[in-house]
Amino acid sequence: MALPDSVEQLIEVLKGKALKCTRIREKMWMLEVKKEDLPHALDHAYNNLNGQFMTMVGTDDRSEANDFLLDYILGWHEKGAVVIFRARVRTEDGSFPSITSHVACADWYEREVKDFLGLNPVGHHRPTKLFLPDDWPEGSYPLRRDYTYDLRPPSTGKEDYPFSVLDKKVSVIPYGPYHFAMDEPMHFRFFVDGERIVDTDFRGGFNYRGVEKLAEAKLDYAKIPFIAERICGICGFTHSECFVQAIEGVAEVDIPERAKWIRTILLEIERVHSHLLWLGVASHLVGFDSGFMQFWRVREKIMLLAEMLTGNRKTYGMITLGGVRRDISEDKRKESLRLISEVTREYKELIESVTSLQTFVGRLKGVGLLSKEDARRYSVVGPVARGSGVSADVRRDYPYEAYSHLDFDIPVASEGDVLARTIVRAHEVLEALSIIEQALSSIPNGPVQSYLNYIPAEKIGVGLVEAPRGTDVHFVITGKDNTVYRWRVRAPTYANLQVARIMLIGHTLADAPVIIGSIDPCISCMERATVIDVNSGNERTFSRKACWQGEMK
Amino acid sequence: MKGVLGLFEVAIRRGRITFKYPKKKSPLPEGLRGKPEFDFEACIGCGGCVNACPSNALTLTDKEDVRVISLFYGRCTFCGRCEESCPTGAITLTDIFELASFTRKDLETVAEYRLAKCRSCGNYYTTDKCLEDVLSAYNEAITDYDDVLKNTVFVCTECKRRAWSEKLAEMRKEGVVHE
Repeated sequence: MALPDSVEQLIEVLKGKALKCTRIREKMWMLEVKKEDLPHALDHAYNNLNGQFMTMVGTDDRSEANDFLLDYILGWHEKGAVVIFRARVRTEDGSFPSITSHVACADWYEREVKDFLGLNPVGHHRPTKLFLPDDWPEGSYPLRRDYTYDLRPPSTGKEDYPFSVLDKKVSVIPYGPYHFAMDEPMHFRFFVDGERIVDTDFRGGFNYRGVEKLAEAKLDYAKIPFIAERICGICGFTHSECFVQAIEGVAEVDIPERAKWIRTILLEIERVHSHLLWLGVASHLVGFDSGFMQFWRVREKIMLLAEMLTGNRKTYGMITLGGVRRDISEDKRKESLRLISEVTREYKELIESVTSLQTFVGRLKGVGLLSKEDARRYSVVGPVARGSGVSADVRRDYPYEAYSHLDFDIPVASEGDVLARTIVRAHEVLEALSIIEQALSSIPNGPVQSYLNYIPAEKIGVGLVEAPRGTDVHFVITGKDNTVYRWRVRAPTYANLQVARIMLIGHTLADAPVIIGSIDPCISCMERATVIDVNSGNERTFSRKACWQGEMK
Repeated sequence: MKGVLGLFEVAIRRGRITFKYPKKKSPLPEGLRGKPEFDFEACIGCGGCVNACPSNALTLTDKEDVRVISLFYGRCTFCGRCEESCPTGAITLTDIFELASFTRKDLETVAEYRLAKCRSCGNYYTTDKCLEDVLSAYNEAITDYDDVLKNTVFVCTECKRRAWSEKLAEMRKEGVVHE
């Protein structure tokens, strides 16, 4: 079936399945569907009409309407439209039909809903735990509203995660959560036949700290951007920007132009530093440590630039609702332009010699293949998608802040291997540097902060930001008294790590670190970090001696 | 230049950029957001910073006649919201960033303030210094001040609220205000 020409027609086509269709704001619709119709409606929207699966959110709405809300958010990049499919699940029912047979990437989202809300995805091929620990008791669901934010249920004492078992005679190699070739806390199980990986299994959740629950229970709108920034140590600014975008969409506030441009500059600074960091780490993973040192040398200038503009190397703390907190003075602007041209020069000479190094390129070429079909089927995002020939970038498709005024390319490579992802990122660094330069040269004058008076309750906000790793999606339902009713963070790694299995199968064990690394996985992003409440007695401190004696268990 | 030689050339030309850190320090930019520090003389203990702190690094506890405001650097995210919200400029972000310590105590700053009693109900409700601050502002603005102060500054919020609702009820009885 051909894709309708306009968004209006698209909505007309989808409406047939819906009970109710509401236009939330420009280019954003909500379709309420019956829970039984979900697989059919989403199959049609996703497979026939080519929607991009962005996120799925479960909300405990029992206090309002005695049911749970399920929101499936699909995007149409060509049209810049977002459509939310909403279904209601009655409390006494507690189950919903799984859509994984039609929409493969819904796998983790449904498991997460099962973990946190206790709703059962009927027909899911493998509804095991995703984020909760193995010894978490049954019937304790953290995102239900009757679960207090600081409650820690007692352990069941059983650790029995059902890892997959293969019929074939294979060796099993555990990989992570602590492993010298992996910087992130995740566990892979490789089933290997000799050197070849025949299958893998994944277990995550080691870093889940429940920032969403904390925000719903304890924080107000003014505080969340700062906590959101701590979700990730690399792309934290993207998260605060994304949250703020969702709320500003609800409040319908006009952001001063200059603030928009400053936000754009910082987003791109973050992209440059993140990609340079990744290029360094990727070099390190294939044993090319001089590359690692050189990329990080160039990156250091970007860190100094960020420090100068924001007062910190990372976690800029610049965003508030309605603007930014610091202006860029004329001196700083000139100094930034100088630094950017320096970095551009140094980066160009470095990337030229590195990409012509056969030892480096040879390790990446033809490794970790992801076809365009699979990239599309799993709705992967960011450089992983663009490395497989899918041209998708929310900076161009859903323009926010000052991107519509700036001139930039979206690099795409079609090979789908680790090298393609590397090349995409390498080009993106140059594009980002050019964006920063353009923005700094033509930044408009004016105020940098406007004030929001009122944020209405029970409204839906969606924030879409292109993080260095891919599309970051924040879904917010606003609540009363300046608090969020539901906040769901979908970090890009959440979408990308689901295809790691496809990339790994058929390759050798020696390539596994760089294949997983090529996703640029960020687990604390995916699992949403938070600040630990030290006073509640939930934290224990240990002396160094005690640590050595192994008392920390 | 391409290939290994190119990389070699870049590495040599750019040279060493690291330095022996604790001995030599790199210059810090203006406006670095480092360790927040209290000026206890200026602080009036109003608790505005506690409300603004996103990460709960600043906490406030009232114990009988003492208000304790504590700042735990272990939880501080150096966002600087406290600095922005302080009415007297008592809390400022310095450029100190080396906070590592062997003991937890080093990371805690605690300030205690005497609380004042509400003249109506006798409960403790605000700090002495807060009152002083308010009074210094009143001095210039109001002439018949004893009367005003008795009903506003020296009573706690609950009492003020009760007094107002009682007054309102009276006015309704007299027919001055309607439902």
